[in-house]
Amino acid sequence: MSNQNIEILLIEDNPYEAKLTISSLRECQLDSHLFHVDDGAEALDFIFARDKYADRVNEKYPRMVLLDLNLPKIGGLEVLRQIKSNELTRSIPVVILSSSNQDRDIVSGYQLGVNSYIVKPVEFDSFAKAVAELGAYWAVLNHAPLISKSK
Amino acid sequence: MTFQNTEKERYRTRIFSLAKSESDKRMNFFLSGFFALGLILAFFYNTWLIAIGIGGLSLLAYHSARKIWRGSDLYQYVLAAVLGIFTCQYLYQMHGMYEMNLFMLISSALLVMYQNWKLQLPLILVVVLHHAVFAYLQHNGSSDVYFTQFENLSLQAFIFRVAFLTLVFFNCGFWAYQFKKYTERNIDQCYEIVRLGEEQLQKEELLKMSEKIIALNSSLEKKVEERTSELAAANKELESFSYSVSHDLRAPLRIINGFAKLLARKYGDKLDEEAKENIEIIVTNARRMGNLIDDLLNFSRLGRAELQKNRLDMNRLVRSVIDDVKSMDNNNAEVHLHDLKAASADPSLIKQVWVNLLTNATKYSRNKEKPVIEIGTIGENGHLTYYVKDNGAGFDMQHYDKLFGVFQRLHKVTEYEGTGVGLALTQRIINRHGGKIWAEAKVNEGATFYFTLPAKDDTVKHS
Repeated sequence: MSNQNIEILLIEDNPYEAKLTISSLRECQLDSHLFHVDDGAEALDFIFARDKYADRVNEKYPRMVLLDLNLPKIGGLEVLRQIKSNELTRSIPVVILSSSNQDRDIVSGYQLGVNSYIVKPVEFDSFAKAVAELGAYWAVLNHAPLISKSK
Repeated sequence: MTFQNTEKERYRTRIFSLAKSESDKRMNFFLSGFFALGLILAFFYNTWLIAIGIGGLSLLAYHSARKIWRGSDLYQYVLAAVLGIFTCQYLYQMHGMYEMNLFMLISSALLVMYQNWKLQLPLILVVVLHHAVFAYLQHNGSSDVYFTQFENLSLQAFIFRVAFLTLVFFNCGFWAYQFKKYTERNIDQCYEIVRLGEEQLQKEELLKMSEKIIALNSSLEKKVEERTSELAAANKELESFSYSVSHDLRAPLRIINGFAKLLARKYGDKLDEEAKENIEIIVTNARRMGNLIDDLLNFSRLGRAELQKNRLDMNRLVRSVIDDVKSMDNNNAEVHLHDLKAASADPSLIKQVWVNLLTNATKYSRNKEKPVIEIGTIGENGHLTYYVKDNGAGFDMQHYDKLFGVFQRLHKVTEYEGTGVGLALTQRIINRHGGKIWAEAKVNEGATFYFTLPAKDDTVKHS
C-alpha cells in the first residue's frame, strides 16, 4: 500500500472520524488513492520517507493532505509547520479538517501557511457534502504543483 | 463647648472644695488654740466661766453651723463672727488690755485662707458692735465692763486708729480676693494644660487611626484587585473549560449522527420502515443532545457575561429579529408591531430575549389557522413593560411555576420541539438587567409574555 501512488493523505487519530471522512470521499470516488495515518509523527515519516516509510523515497508526494488538529504527541499545527517549512513539501496543499471553530486555531493555521481550513459540520449530511466539494476542488479542479523529488 | 464648660466646672468645684476642707482642718487647729488661749488667760483674772462658757458656746456655734449648713459656705461667716467673739472674750478676760485687739487682726489674716473677702465683714461687725456697746456702757458708768480706757483719746487719734484698722481689714480682704483670683487662674491654666494635653493625645490618636484606615483601605483595595483578577481568571478558566467540555461532548455526537446516516444511506434499500425509523430516532436524539449542550453552554456563559448597556432602538432590533425568525421558520404568522420605547440594555442579550419570545410565539401558534402575534409596550412609571402576545397553544397557568425552569417544558416533545432552556435563559437575561418577566395564558387561546427593563439612565453610552 505504501508503495502506491497516494493522492490524498488523511491524518486523523480518531478511527470513527476517519471512517466517516473516507466514506464521504468514497461516495464521490475519491477514496481510491487515499492513505490514512493516525499519528502525527507517522504522517511526517510518510511524507518525508523516513523510518517505516523509507521505501517511499522515490514515490511522489501526496496531492493533498487532510489534517486534523487534535492529534496526540505531535499536534496538528506542528505537523503543518513541518510540512510548510520544508522547501520541497511546502507546496503540498494542506487542508485542515477540524471540529474546532476557535479563532486562535484558524489564525494559527493560516499563519503557518495552511491552504484551507474547514470546520467539520455537526450534521453528517452537511459534512459529506463539504467533503465531496473539498475533494472535487482540491483533487480535481485545483492544479497541484508538480513537485520533483530531486535529492 | 458646653460639655467642656461643665467639665471645667466640675474640676473647679473639686479644687475649691479640696481647698475648703484643708482650710477647715487648719481652722479646727486654730480654734482649739483660741479656746486653749482663753483657758490660759483665765489664769490671770480667774475668768474661768467666761473662758469655758463663751469659748465653748462659740465652738458649739461654729461646729453646729458647719453641720447644719453642710452644702454652703455660710458656716464660714459664723466662723468669722466666732473669731470676733474670741477677741472680745480675751479683751474682757484681760480686763480691757488693749493689746488683745491684736487677735482681731490675727483673725482677719486667718480668714484669708478661705479666699473670701466677705468674711471680713462679720468679723468687723462683731468687733465694732462690741466696742460700741461696751464703750457706751463704760461711759455710762458700768464698772464690770472691762474695756479699754480711752482717757485721753483725741478725735484725731481715734480716726487714725479706725483708719488703720480699716486698712488692715481691707488688706486682708483684698488678699483673700486676690488669693481666690489666683486659685481661679491656676485652675484655668491647669485645665488648659490638661485639655491641650488631651487634645494633643486625641489628635495623635486620630492621626494613628486615619493612618490605619488608609493602610487598611489600600490593603483592601489591593485585595479587591486581587480578587477581581482571580475572578476574571476563574471566569476565563470556566469559559474555556465549558467550551472544551461541550466540544468534547459533541465529538461522539457527530460520530453517532454520521454512522447512523451512513447506515441509512448504505443499507437504506435493504431496511424496512421500522429500521429506518429507528435510525431516524438515533439521529434525532443525537441532534437533540447537541442542542442541549449548546443551550447549556449558552446558559452558563450568560451568567458570567458582562452587561454592556447601550441605548437600544427597540423597534429596529425587533424588526430584524422578526425577519430572522420568519426566514428560519417559514410560517404565515401575522405580526402587529406597535411602537416600542427605547431602553438601556445589552443589545446582543436583549436580541436573544426577542428571538426566544418570538420563536416561541411562532412555534406555538403554528397549528392555528390564523396565527397573530402582537408586540408592544405598556407605559408605566419608571419601568418599560414590553409584551409579546400570541393566539397559539398557550399553556395551563396551573403549571406556571415550571414555565421558566431549566429543561422544564409544558408541552410534549412530540407536540412542539424544544430543549426547555429558552425561557430560563430569557429570564436570566432580564433579571441581570434588573427587570422582571412574567406571563399569562389560556390553554389553546394563546399566551402573553411581559418583561420590564429599567428606564434609560444617564450613565448610558450612546452607541
